[in-house]
Amino acid sequence: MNELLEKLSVSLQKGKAAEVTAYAQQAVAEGETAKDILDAMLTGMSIIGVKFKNNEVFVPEVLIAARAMNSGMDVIKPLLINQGVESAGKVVLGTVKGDLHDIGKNLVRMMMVGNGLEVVDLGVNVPPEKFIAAIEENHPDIVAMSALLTTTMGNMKEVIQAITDRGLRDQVKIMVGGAPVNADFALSIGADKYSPDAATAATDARDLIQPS
Amino acid sequence: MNGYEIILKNVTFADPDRIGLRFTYLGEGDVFRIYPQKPVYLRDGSEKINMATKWKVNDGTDEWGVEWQKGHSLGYPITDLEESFEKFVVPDPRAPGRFEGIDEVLSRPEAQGKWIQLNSPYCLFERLHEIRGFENTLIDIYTEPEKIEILLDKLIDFQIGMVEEAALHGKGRIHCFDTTDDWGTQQSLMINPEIWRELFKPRYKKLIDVIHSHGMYLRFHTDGNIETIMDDFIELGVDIINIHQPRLFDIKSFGEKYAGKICFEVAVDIQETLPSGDKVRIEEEVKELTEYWATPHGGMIGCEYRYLEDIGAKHEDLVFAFECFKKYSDLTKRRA
Repeated sequence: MNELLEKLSVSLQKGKAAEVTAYAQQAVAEGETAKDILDAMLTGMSIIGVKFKNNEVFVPEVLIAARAMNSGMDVIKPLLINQGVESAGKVVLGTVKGDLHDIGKNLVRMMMVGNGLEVVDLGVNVPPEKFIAAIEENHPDIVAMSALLTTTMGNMKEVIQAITDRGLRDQVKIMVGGAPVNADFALSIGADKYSPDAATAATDARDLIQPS
Repeated sequence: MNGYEIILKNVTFADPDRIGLRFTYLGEGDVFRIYPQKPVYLRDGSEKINMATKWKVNDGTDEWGVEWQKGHSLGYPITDLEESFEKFVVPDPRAPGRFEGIDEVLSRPEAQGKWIQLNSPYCLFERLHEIRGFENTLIDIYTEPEKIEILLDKLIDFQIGMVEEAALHGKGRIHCFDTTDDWGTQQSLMINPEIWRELFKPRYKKLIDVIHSHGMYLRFHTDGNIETIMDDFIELGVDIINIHQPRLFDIKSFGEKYAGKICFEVAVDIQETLPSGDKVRIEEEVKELTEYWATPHGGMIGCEYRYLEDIGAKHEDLVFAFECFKKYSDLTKRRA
C-alpha cells in the first residue's frame, strides 16, 4: 500500500470522515483504482475489527470508523461500478419477529459494511415473510438473524423453515447471533453459522461467501 | 434481626446473621421498593396512584419526549445538536405528585421492618441514549463531548432533585436510592473506560455525595461486563451493585478481587443459568456466589429477576433460586 492509501487507512481507523473523503478524492485524482482504494479502507476496518475483538477499542470507535468508511465509499462508489468491481457480497439482516432489540444487530451491520459487504437492514421485529420478500428482491448471499430474547430466538427456526418452504434455502447461507444464541442452537435449527460477536459475524460472513 | 437490619449490616459489613434477600415478585425478602408516581401535571384523572407500583410509559410519549412502543424506546426528542438540543427541557423532579401516597405505602413495610428503597432508573447513560438515540449517543460522546457534558449535567441534576425529594418526603424513612445504567456489553464496557472516567464518573460522584449526605445508601444496577470499572464504582462509594449476569465473570476470581469492598445484589444468571431450568446448575451457582461474593461479615443480597417471560425462565425456577439463596444464606457459621 502506498503512502497516500496508508494515510487513508489510518484516517479511517481514527474515524476522521472528512480526511477519508479528502484522501479518497486525492487517490482517485492520482489514478489509484477504486479496488485499491476500497482495499485500503477494508484494511483499516479490519484493523478496527481486530482491536474491537481484543477490547482495545469500543463500540463508538467502530461506529465512527464505519461512518468514515461510508464517506469514502461515497467517493468511490461510481468508480467501483464503472470499473466493474463487485461488492464482497450481500447480506439481508434483521432482528426476528417479536424482538425489538437493535443494538447488536446494528453493530453487526456496521461491521459487515466495514468489511465491504452490502447490507440490506430489515430492522427489528421482522416476520418470516419479510425475510422471504427481501431474499426474492435482493438476491443476497447471506441471511443474518439476531435475537436477544430466549422467547424470540425460536422464531429464527420459523424463518429458516419459511425460506426452505419457498425453495430458497440453497440460494442463501444463514447466520444467527444474539445473547441467548449459541453454536448448538444454530446447528439445531439448521443455520449455517453462529457468530458470537459483531466483528466475528463480519469475518464469518466473508468466509461463508468466499471460503479461504 | 429484621429485614432492614439484615440489609444494612450486609451493606456495611457489620456481621448480619445471613445474606440479604430481595424476591419481591414472590412476596419474599427484606426489601420494599417504592417508585415515583406520575406527576400531577401529566394526570388525566384516571390514574391509580400507588408508590408500590412502577409508573412507566410503555406505549406513547413520556415526559422526556421519548416515544415508546411495547416498552422499547423508538423515537427520541434530541434529533440534532442544534435546535432540538437547545430546546430540550429536562422534567422537573420536584413536580408535585411524584411522592403522593408515601405515608400510606410505607406504613406496612415499616411495620414489617423492611429496608425501603426508592427506584429512580435511567441515571445518566440510559437516559442519554433514550433522549438522543443509541448510536448518536455513542458517537456524540466521542465527537461532541462538550454538548454531551451539558446534557449530563442536566440529567444528574434531575437525579439529584429526586434524591432531595426523597429526603424531603421520606423524612428519613427511605434507606436507599436505587438507580440504573447498563454499561457493559457481553465482553467489555460500551465505551472506553477513560472516557467513562472523564465524562460520567464525576457526575456519579456528585450524585452519590448528595445521596450519602441525606443518610441514604446507593444501589446501582448495571448489566453487562463492567469489570474494568469495578474499582471505580468502589472508589465512588456505590454501596450495592446489582448484577444479573454473574456468569459474564469468573465468579471465583471476581469475588476474590471485590468481595468485602462493595455489597453485591446478585441474581442467578439470567442469560444462562436461570433460563436453563436446570436445578443442579441453579443451586451450584447460588452456592458459588454465596461462597465467593459474600464475606463472613456480609456484603451480599440474593435477588430475583422478575421478567421471566423475556428470558424464557419459569416461575418455578425463580422459586427454586430463592430457596437456594435461603439454603446458603447463613453467615453466622462462617464467622464461627
